Amino acid sequence: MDKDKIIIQVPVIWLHLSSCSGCSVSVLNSVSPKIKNIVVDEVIPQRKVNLLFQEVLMAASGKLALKVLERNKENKDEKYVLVVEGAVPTKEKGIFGTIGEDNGKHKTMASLLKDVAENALFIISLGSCAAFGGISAAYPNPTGAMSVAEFLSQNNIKKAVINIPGCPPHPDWFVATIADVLLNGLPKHEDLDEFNRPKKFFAKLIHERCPRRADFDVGRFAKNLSEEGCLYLLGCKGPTTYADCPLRKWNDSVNWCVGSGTPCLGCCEPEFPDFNAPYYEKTIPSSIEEGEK
Amino acid sequence: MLVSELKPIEEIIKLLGTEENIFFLACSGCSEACKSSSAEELDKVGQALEKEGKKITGRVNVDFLCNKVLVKIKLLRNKAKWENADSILIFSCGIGVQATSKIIRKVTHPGTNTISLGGFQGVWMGQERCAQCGNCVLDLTAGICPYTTCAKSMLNGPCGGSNEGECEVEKGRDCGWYQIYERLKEIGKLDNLKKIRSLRDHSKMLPKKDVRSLDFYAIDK
Repeated sequence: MDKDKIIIQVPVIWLHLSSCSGCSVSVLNSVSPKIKNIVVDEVIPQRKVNLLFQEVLMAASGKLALKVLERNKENKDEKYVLVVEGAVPTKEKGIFGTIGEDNGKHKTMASLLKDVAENALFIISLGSCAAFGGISAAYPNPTGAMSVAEFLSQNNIKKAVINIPGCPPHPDWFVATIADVLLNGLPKHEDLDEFNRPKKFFAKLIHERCPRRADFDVGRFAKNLSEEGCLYLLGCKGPTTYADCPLRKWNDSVNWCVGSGTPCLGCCEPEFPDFNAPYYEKTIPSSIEEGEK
Repeated sequence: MLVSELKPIEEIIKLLGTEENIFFLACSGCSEACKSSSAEELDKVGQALEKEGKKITGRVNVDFLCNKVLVKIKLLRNKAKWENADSILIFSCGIGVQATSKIIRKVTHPGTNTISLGGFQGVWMGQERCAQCGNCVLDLTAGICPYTTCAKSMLNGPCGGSNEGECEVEKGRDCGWYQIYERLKEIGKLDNLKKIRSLRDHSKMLPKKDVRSLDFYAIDK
């Protein structure tokens, strides 16, 4: 190895808030590059991720683990990329979600995010809960869960936020976004859509690129799950959902929801899951005056 | 793909009448490809209307205005832009106007005419359809096309043969004019029934000459 080679390390802190850890599970199953390569090797030449805090991966636990966050809070010059997984519970002063203790009291996820976000270079909201509230904020939302961007805005913390929704998000969407930032810096305004999703992955409707689109066009509809034909009458949300699943597919491009005969659930849209439910029925487009559902 | 062209600005001004606050709803699908809902064209229409003293309350693009659920989602996301508008000016094919009218109880005006491209068209699975006649009257009929929903394509009112909202031509088929009457009543525009829709110019239904010369038959001649 070249001794003079300079490797720039980019510190990353990854917080789990109100989530099921499914986003971690999905992203850690990245196939190419593997998560081991992302964490240990150079993601792009001479640029390396230095993952400081990730609850699923880190060996340390308890106070020892939380020290990393405290150190970063004290040292204002140490900037890092913040990845947030899960929504922020805010009701009852955020007591519905806590991580560790602060002076003998529960440290709420909301106050932790506030502390850690202050020093972040930028924030990646990973998964639909972090990006839009998702399942954590679904009706009746007893914990007052909200998206990271909304929480920061309410607390007057101005940080660039990239939303990578999905329940869970595709590992490629996350890895490619990280690689893109390391190569080219933060995405420009025109590279993101109105919800700060990278247009690279979320510019086109699933319906436009669906391999079953021809079935829709001639009115050949599946009557039961797993049947051939367009799944629209079984509640497919492909016509209203923006994502590149039909091209990218999942599990190393083996298959995807519609490919296996189950409708798209629209998990990348801000209205997920309330507006999209019930999932296995066609959405009846009633007028706005008749109700928002 | 359905092909549409912008209505002349004088016609649009006439359609809007005394309405002051106008919301623009544009399709980013077929009609943007035809440039009848491109940003430049919409800017021009907006400027012309502002000169006439109108206020544009906002502008929203929907990728496919024929997709009613998508229209609803987009409108709900942008409520602030349209809730105080007197009417909605729609830049899309006739299907987009009809889909919007189904989703929102507001006065809708077509800003474009949908024209024929010799049978080359999209597929629509709903009941609303567009005949690509180039003589759009959706403005007067509350966004329901009398030409396609009425079995007899009556332009100036019902034929008298409908029974409790059902068409006499085909059992189970809704009477188009019954639907138009009900929708006009909902939006408080029953006066529109008294306005006479002029004779249809069927020459507009022909594909344009330069387009006709582009089909395989003509090229291989």
